[in-house]
Amino acid sequence: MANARAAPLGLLLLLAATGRAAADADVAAAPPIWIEDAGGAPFRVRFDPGERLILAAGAEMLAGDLAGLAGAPGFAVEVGLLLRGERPAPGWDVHWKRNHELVRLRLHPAVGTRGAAIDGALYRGIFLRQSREGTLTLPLTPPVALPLPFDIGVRVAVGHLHGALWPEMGGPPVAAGLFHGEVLADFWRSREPGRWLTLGIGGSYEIGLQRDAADVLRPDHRVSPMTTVAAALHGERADGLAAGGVRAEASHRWSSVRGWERAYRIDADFEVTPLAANDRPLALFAIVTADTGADLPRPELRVMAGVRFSQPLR
Amino acid sequence: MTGQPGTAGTGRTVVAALAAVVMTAGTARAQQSEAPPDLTLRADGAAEVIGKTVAPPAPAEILAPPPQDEAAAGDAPWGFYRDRQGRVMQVSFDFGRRLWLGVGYAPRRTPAGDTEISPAAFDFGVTYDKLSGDGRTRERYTVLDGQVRLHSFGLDVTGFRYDLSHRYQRPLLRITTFVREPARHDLYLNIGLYAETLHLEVAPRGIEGEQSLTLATAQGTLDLWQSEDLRSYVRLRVGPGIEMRIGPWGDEARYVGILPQATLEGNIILGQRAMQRLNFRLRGDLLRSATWHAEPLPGEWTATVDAAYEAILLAINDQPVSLRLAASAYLRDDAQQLVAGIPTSRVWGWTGTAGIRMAFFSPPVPRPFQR
Repeated sequence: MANARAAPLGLLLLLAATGRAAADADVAAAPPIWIEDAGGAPFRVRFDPGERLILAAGAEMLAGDLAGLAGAPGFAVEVGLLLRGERPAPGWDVHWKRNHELVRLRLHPAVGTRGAAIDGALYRGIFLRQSREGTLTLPLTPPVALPLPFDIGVRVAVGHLHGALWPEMGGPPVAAGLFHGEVLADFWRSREPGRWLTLGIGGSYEIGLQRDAADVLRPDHRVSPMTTVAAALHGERADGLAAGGVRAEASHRWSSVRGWERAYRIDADFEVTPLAANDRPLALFAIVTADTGADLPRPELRVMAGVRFSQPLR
Repeated sequence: MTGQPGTAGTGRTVVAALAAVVMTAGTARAQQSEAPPDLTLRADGAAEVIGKTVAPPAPAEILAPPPQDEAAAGDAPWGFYRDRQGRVMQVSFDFGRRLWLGVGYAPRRTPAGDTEISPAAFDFGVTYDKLSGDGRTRERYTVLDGQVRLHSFGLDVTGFRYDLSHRYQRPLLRITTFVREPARHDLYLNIGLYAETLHLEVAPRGIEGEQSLTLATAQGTLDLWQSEDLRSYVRLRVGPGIEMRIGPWGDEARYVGILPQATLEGNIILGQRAMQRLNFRLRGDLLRSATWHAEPLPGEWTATVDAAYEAILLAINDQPVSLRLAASAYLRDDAQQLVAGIPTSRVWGWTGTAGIRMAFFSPPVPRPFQR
């Protein structure tokens, strides 16, 4: 936990020490979306990874501990709707970078005691406030513009699901996160969409459901009262042909069953688009999730790799 | 010509004699040239009139001298030819639009292993095809296409068949690669449609009293090659079908699903004036139970191969007469029932056909589509 906090803080200090003020460069001209071949036939060469409908399929391996991927690969699918706010308008002063994920779920057909059957969230959003001047205005009299070495924002997740579709006797718990909120500091301050380096502090409330050996359903209320720290790095190419990110979260939370406990989770997602069919990108992707928690029998490591089909919405 | 042994040679002789009689009566032979097809033909072709050393008798009804200049000779409609006597005759016939009746000699090997060397076969059918206004879609309708065999009796007729070929203006699949410089690769997949209903076949497995009726089949087609006018093609088609079998096992009909039926087939129009046609087909059926409660089937698959060649030899009153040679063979895995005379669960057979067809209401091949 201490190490997890130390790394982002060190990065924060490094950025602050460089004296990097608010990134006041305007948004770079976006590369062309369509080009033409020698015969004049148009085709799309730029996609927006944050504005699309995705359907992915691949193999998922689940390991019962972090020592290795001992489990046999199974088939899994991923669905989701990603939406993103517009780029800043010319002459902007304050702009919110908005990224939404709706019903982004990974489904594993092997429902039961062998592993997680679902992982994802019904809604997840990141809102980063950007100011041209790089300041945060305090509405005092007179107003005070407070220069900051970072942008601020929030991250919200509603309906986070993890575990089997329904708790089974002796099986893994089902975790249903009702709400998760974080206050973010974005040290990258990139004007480009899909790029951020954030450090956040937040809280959450989730319910764990598990059937014990007597087939009794036992709820477990878990509350993190602003005691969750997370660091996230996300980037993508200007043409959208490659994107990826990693997020690490450490939580000191209270459980109605076990009392205070610590839980850690790391999510990583990378994709590269080598081709497009009918101007719809076909990407190769990999998702890695490591999860520890007192509710789990032992730490889990899940790796999913496959092909992701996207329907661009813009 | 009625299927007696050894009558094939006699049939050819009769056809040749008939042709000679028609030609000596003043029939002009259409010009054969290496140039692109010119279905109007020129009056120069009349120089090749058979027996030109003998002055053809002037028909009594011709009151004016024949046109001597080329312009006058060239006023025949498309697909017709005007000879030096001013008579107009059709010299182009569309295989795709006609009603035909034919007779032929059709020896075969039955599924029971007997070789029949004496049957005659009568074939018939009506077909009509049309090209869309933009020249990119050709629809084909065929009604009552089939054959009746005598000695021993057999029937194989398709009630209605519809198929469609289309040439897509835009590629069905465009692949863009981003490995180096972005590049677009177009894949034109000319997808079409095929449907058939009421295909009746008597004793398809050689079981006395059995009849199979294909209620319907609907398939997608992929044209691997198609000619500019879409009259010729080589294609793959795949799709399901359902077949009803009525047989000597009782009053109850048995339903067999065909899932899928896969066929590689071709229809190729040959010759400068499109007077020949070559057809081939390789077909495989995977059979499934088509009842609410799955029942065991007498076999799982059938395979068929057939080919036919047809060439128009002459026309009588502008109705073309063609020679047709055909052969087919099949192997069936669906005869595992205990039927007398069928020693094995797999049966096979072949049929050869040599005959003539006369077609009616066959217009000339349309002019090439002008894009």
